[in-house]
Amino acid sequence: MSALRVRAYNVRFGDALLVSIPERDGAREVTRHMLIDMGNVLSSEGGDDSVFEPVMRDILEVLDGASLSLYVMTHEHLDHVQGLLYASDKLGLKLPGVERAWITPSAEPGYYDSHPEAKRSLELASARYLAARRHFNALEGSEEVPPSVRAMLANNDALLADGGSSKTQACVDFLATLTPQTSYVHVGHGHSAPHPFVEATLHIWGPEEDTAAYYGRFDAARLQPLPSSEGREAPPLPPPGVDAGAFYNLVNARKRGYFDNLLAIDKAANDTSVVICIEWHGWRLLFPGDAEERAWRTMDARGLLEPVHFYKVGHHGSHNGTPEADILDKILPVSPPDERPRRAVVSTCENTYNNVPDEATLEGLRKRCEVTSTLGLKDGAYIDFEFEA
Amino acid sequence: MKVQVPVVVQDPHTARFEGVPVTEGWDIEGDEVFLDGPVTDRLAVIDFDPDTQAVTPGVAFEPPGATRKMGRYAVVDEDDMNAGDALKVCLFGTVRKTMSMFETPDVLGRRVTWGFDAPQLLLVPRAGQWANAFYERDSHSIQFFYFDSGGATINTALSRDIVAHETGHAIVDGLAPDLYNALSPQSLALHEAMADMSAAMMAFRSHNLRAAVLARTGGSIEDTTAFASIAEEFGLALGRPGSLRNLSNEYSLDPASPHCVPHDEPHGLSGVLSGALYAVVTRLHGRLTDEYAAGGMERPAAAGKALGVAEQRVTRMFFRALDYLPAGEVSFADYGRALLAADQASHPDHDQERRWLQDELVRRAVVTSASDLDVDTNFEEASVKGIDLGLLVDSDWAAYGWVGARRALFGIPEDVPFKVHPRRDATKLFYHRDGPQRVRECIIKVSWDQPEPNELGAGLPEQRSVTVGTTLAIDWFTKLIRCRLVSGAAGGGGGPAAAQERAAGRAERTALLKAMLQSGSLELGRRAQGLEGMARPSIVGAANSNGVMRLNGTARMLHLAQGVT
Repeated sequence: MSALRVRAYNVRFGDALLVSIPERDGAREVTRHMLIDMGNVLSSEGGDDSVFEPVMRDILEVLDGASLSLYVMTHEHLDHVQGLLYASDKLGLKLPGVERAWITPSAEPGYYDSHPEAKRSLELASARYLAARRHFNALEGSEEVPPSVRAMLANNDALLADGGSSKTQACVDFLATLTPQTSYVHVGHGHSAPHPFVEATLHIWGPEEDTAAYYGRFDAARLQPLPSSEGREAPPLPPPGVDAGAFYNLVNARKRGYFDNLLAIDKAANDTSVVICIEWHGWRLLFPGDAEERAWRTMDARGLLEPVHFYKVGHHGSHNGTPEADILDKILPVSPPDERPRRAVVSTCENTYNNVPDEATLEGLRKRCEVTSTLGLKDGAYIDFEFEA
Repeated sequence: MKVQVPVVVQDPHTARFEGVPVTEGWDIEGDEVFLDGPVTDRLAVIDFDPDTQAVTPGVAFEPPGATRKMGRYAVVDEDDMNAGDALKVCLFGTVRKTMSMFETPDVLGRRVTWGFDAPQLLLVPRAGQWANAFYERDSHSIQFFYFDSGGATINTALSRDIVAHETGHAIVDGLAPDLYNALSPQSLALHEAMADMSAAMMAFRSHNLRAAVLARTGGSIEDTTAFASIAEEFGLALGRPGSLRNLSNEYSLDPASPHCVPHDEPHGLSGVLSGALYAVVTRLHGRLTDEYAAGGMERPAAAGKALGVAEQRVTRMFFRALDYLPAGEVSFADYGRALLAADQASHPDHDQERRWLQDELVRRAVVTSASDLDVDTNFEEASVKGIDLGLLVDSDWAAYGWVGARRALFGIPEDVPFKVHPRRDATKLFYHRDGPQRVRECIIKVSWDQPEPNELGAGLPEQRSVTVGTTLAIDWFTKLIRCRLVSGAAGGGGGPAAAQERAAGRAERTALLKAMLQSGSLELGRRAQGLEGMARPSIVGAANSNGVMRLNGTARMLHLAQGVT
């Protein structure tokens, strides 16, 4: 039997992973394909859309006219959803067919009507996102808006109150109609979510069905209306008699809230990632999307984590995407539990988010497995990882 | 110079008591300098325009002159409470009056100092749209938010309860700064309970409100009234059945009680202590009312007088206890011992209120028996003889040397570094049968870090640091020790239940930290950093210091409206 193959494309700051799984169909062998995400961020270096053409052409060549067996949209971030719509609309490149799609549960139409806590959290997040967006848009062009903020604003535009102007929402809507056989999957499905694979078992470790579990505290002060143009030109001065140092500390503390809220929003969406562990002929391959610390802790609390042989490094190698050692030990213990090699891939791009990829995180992973990065690959090129049956 | 400022009497939209004005005048007398704002050397109102975010001009100060005996701030229309000028001046007045309540010789006998190293507390009346308010040490500020409810704008800066509550947090932070970084739920709950009692005592201080409430209740303060309810308007606007918290309660730490509160949630937990304290208030008020009525006063008049007297006594008791509170993290039992010590040192022969308090703390399972709260006061200590208290107050060097030579007196383990807090020189007023007396005392607080196992996992250090400490109060003239209290976590308290108290404290700390970890509000090291390496205001950061975990700013979780994020 052929080897299972994971192909990780360099899409700059985003994910696109094609998993080709050989299976027996009676006497003959067939290979079914699963595509996990395809996208990159619009802003900064990480968001060059031209990368999607070679990626899409390669995928079509691999499929060779057959349907894609399963498309997985891990979460509602632009760097995970944008590619297929772009390829379809701008390049005229379409998948020949999609048998099934798995999508994160919060993207299901009507989801928030049936999950009131999640709805409340989303409304709070949306209000804070809009406030941050207004604040940073008013400062456009200024050094006060670092690239990471621009990327995060673009990545989370699903929170725009007017869904019609959200690029992410348009992509999600497109992906939800790839096939009538779309499932909104969560941890409650275990390994029973419908899929076309015969020999591979797909375990769903995340997310929780109720995404309210992933929203933490937001910072308060920063639900402010748009600063006036006068305010931009003339930073506020301390009134007479007021401790100037304390005054400027206060003004800066209020600004920090915008950054903090944007980060909290980004983390909450990352934590809604569909986390899949593929089990095939003794191999375990883990694809956690962009799940962050909170999602890892939740998976651990449910007792789901098991040692794996392949790890798609979470959240592009950020220090929040890979769990701390006590949890990491459960998926990549320092001492391997069997003789099989262990590998990890990080799909990432520099100069998009500050300190991503995080060298200390990757160094920690190197003590446990072989780590490969998409950095250094040409745009749209790929790395293959093969797993013999 | 004398300056009159308006102080909020009741929440503007609640209007429960007909005929009670929304504000009443209050006079500030002294040598403070008043500038437009209001701005003084200790307070500054900084108002950000909700539309432009520009800092709005301060309200003009009009000093006393030929036609005006008292200074004032030029508010255009004092009835238009939501107008920027009235909002700023009322906020300033209410905060300033709350400070005064603590500073009077009848309570602390000195100016309050803040928990940060600067003289001025910034007050932000319109910090943004949110149903909340909070004190924040790092920005030297109290931030009040506004929100819409039923078409009306609710300004938290116009709620007497909320303003007094948050000012209480700021004052407690100056008196007991170690509570700000505490890991112990009861330490954080004490912060909250003292803030709630600040609000309640401020309500008692309003003559207009006192008269209206007693007229409505027939002289009782036992039921939920303007005094026992905290932030009623705010609670109603948030769609809650009434106020945010009710001090007239039966909350308990006893797991067998139907009123037991979770031991790891500071807001709920605070109700146990504030409920116990409020119960003492109502008992004292009832007894005094009976006494005055038996002496021939009409009962309504007796109830009014009793409330004024009771308020003075309990304000003295409750807040003076903060001076005697051991440094470091503390439990409710530590506070109980401090409260009893402060009262017993001055009124050794009159123990009625102390016995009530002991009863309440036993009834609510804060301690197992009244003897757990026993304290020694006014005793001689050989190692204090010859002490130069003036030098000790003025010189850090002298203070460290003096304490270092007396580790046993303070209970400081050998070879452990310690911190001597700024010494306090306070002259307090006491009332005895033979008239008022002033007692000058020197308060010395010393703290040190004590490691304990940190059973959290999640990559966190295996040990955590708990700050513990001792407070020594010395009579300036007799050199008697008015009290010496070591925090329960450091072995203070004594009694058969002391070990049990320490074990419970450790378990509660673990439960709180686990809950914070699970909710994502606690992060270690770099994970606590935000974008571009900035600090994250919504996160409590943990640092790993040679395998020992230290936290910073846990009290920032004590936003007024818990759960409203």
